[in-house]
Amino acid sequence: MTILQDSESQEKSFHSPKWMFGSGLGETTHETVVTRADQALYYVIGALLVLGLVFVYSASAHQALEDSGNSLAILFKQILATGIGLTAMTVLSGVNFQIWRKLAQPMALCVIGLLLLTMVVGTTANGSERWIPLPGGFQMQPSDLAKIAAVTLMAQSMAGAQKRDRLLSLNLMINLMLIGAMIFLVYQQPNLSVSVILAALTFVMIMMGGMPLYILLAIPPVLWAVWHKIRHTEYQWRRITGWLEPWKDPQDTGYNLIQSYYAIGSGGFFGVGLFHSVQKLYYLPFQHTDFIFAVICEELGFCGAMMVLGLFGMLAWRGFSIALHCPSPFGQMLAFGITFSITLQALINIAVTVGVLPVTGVTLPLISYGGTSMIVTLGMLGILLNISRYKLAPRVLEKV
Amino acid sequence: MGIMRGYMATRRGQGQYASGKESGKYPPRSVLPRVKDHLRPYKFVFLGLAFFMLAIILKLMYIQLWDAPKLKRQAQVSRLQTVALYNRGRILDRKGVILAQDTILYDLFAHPQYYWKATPEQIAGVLAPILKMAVSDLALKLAEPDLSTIGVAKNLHKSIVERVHDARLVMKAIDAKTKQVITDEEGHIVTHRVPLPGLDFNKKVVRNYPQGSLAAHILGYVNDEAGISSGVEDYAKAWLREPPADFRRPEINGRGDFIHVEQFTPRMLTQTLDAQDLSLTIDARLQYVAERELALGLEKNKAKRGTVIMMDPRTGELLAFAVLPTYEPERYFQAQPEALKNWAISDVYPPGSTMKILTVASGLETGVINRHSHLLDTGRMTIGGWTIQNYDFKKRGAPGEIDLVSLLQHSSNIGSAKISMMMKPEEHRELLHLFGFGQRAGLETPGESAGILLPLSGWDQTTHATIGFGYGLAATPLQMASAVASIANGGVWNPPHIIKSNKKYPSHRVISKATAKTITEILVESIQTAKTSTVRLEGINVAGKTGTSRKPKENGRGYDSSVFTSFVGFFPAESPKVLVMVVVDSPAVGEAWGSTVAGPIFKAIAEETVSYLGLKADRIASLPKENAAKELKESRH
Repeated sequence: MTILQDSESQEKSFHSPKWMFGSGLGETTHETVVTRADQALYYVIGALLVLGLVFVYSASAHQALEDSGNSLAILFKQILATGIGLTAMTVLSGVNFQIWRKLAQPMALCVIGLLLLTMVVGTTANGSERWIPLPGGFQMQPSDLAKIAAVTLMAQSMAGAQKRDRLLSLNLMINLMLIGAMIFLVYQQPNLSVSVILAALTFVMIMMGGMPLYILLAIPPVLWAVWHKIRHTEYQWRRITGWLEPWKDPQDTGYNLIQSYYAIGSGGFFGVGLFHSVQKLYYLPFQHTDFIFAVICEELGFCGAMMVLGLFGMLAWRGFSIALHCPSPFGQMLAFGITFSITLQALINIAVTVGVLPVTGVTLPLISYGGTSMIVTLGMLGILLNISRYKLAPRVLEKV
Repeated sequence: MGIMRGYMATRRGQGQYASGKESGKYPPRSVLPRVKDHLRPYKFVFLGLAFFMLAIILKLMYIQLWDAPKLKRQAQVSRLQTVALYNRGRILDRKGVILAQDTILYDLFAHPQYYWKATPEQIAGVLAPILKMAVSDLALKLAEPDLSTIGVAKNLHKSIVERVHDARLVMKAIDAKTKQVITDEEGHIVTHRVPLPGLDFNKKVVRNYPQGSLAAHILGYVNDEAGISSGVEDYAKAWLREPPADFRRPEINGRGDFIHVEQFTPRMLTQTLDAQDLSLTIDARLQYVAERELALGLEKNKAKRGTVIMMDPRTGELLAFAVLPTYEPERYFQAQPEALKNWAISDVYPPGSTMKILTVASGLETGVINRHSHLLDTGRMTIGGWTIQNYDFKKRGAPGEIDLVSLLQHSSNIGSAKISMMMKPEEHRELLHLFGFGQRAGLETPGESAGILLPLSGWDQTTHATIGFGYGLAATPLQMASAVASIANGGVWNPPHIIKSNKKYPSHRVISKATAKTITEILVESIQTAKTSTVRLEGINVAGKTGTSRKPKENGRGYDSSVFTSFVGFFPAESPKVLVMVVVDSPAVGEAWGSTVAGPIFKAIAEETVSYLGLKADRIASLPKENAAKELKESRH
């Protein structure tokens, strides 16, 4: 968008002391304006999607060819999911985000229903029930939906809760219970990593909503409980030892991480070249989902890794910028929550791949293979794009 | 959609600032207010995410920039095929007879889901004669329910596999549409022949020992999967596993398929190469003779165990190393633990009278006696509170003045103890050390014992005296054989070894050539002039000595009632080419002496060895027989 500089309005905006937001504008010097959605965000999303499709193909072609005889089988599914996701994004970017304030609880209840359904009809993979089979050979992972449900619930509670006396509202209690139910159901799958992400997201959003910082005191006991749980769950503890000392048990607990190191290290600075990864050939586990970043690192090297990190950094920058500039408290919270959840998931996935965190089953948003995740992430970005259309502007019309 | 309508965003252009024409009214981003009120601690979150990202970037830099070359190399090595594409090397004897080799065998599996229209009975009817199994048993096996893979037979040879491949099943032709059996015009049922369905072979490499249990304790056994091995198979595993010169491992993917095979021809990927062979110094023929005669001797005397060590004293090469009880290396897992052990290198025994050879040699070397020395044999004496006596004291009493020939001939304990005590302990111990006592001989098999040679501080009078006739120390049969071999080799000790190579083994001189010659002459004379001898050979001079030692109790002090009987000798005495050491543990029949148990075994082996190696008859020129007889007569006076 081309904007001419207006020195007067600049002056005015800098020196005007009072701002007001959202509805009920009254006597103000600023007002909400509706503009085009954030263009930079479109480019970032586009770049990530293109990169993702290229690498889903690179990482899955050999396996698809052997399993189904068609090297494009997995890529096609991902293209389909991306198409649905882009449609969802376009539609949602045109729907005023305030609708989610009302849809928060219904959506949460739907997600809880789906999570319960997963326990009944869910298909098992890698020891946990995560998918609901859909007609036509498709599957759905309700735990991905839980993230957006949690974000909207918290945004609803915390928006306008900036005053201390409204912090412990009934609405907050209800929403926290709904989130608690979701976390519990996801944890029962078992999917510890997603439940931890949900909990972290909720916590950070409570903090953002203006909760006094003494709630930080809640962190140590929670961490202790999680540590205690991990210490006494054998497969969880083996993950920890496999992470801390992978070379002690290279065939078993350390296997995933060592194969990932091999892939990333083989890449060097410039990589072995697009489509030339060797570690993806059944050495890297989940090479087109959880460990796709390792394939990127091997094929494009340090440059490619920095590119991916840079794109997610830009996504975070745009998202937080949108949040900071949104006139509505609800929009702020929503934009912040969406950006934070996507960024956090991306960083956790990358951290796992490079061995900064123990191995968990988290995918790389917008890049990893996985239909539900792709559609939900693009849907969330659609909401973010819609929020980006609303900005607070100086009331310049009065001058005319 | 009702609720949606109110929330639909204003379309582009309708907003006050949205369209291009009005863009002049739209303020720049920089002047937009930054709304901080509701995101108060956002800086903490940004900082946290930034740190998180920084940690990731640092780790990535470490892996991709610092550690990359190492990881790349490791990754490549980890992808190399580990399943061997080449066989373990063969083990040959000194003449090229195959003692151990890798062979390819096959396991037969059946998959019931691929039997198609054949019944298990039909398949069994064709298969059973080839596998030499009963049809009913095989049919039962093939019809095993609830199994997708049935193990039918194991360790089949290639010829059987080929016969199974060639076998045909006669099936009635069935019309695909009508499901009726097809008949020709004359009403005969139309049949067709099909290969046996649902069968599958699994190729595997197993270690095969064509000579059965021959030289089992030398060869040892190997199980690569379990990572266990013994004998030469263990000692030389690096050599036997060393890939052939033209062998390169291809990289494989995680499912075991080849990748990056541009430099490989299909032949390189499929043919089975042989690793380098290993030649032993063992002669399969002599080994066979030694094992056969030892087994006969053990059976005859109802003995517990025995060993025969044949050595070329000039080089230290072992020509045969028979150890009983034995086992079959191919079925080592069925063997008794006692049979698996090479006790001739792992267990020690008191060498007894065979030690007197070394005592006399040491005495001559240190100069405390000479060729013509005479000693007063009192038949019995007391040293340090312990009484020692000759084995035949009760029969012969005190023989009086004896010479060295007589000392060895009658195996005088008193004479040997006296020579021993004439020497300075440190000189005597140094010589014993040079003879190889108290240290491992260094044979190329695991599990060797160093024996027991007390340090000087532990040598009291009694020890020193008893060492003279082979009691105050303990040695393995191999140590004893190699010590006597150094006398046969003109005084130079060679480490005993079983792997034939051009390697220079570290040998050392123990006694002078003259001393060695003298003691050899004395030994020959003691055998030649004996009234009866179980070890004298026709036309060939043998230098040797019998030994009978009481067995130390397994738990506690003192000695058992059972004995070790032994004989060690080498021939031809003029230029020794073969040394044979026989040790038999606990013979249980009749009078058990070195001369009655070990001697005959030695003689049988020696006779066959002489004819096999074509050894020429010899006589020691300096020792005319009448001279010797005269000297003997004098000494008896």
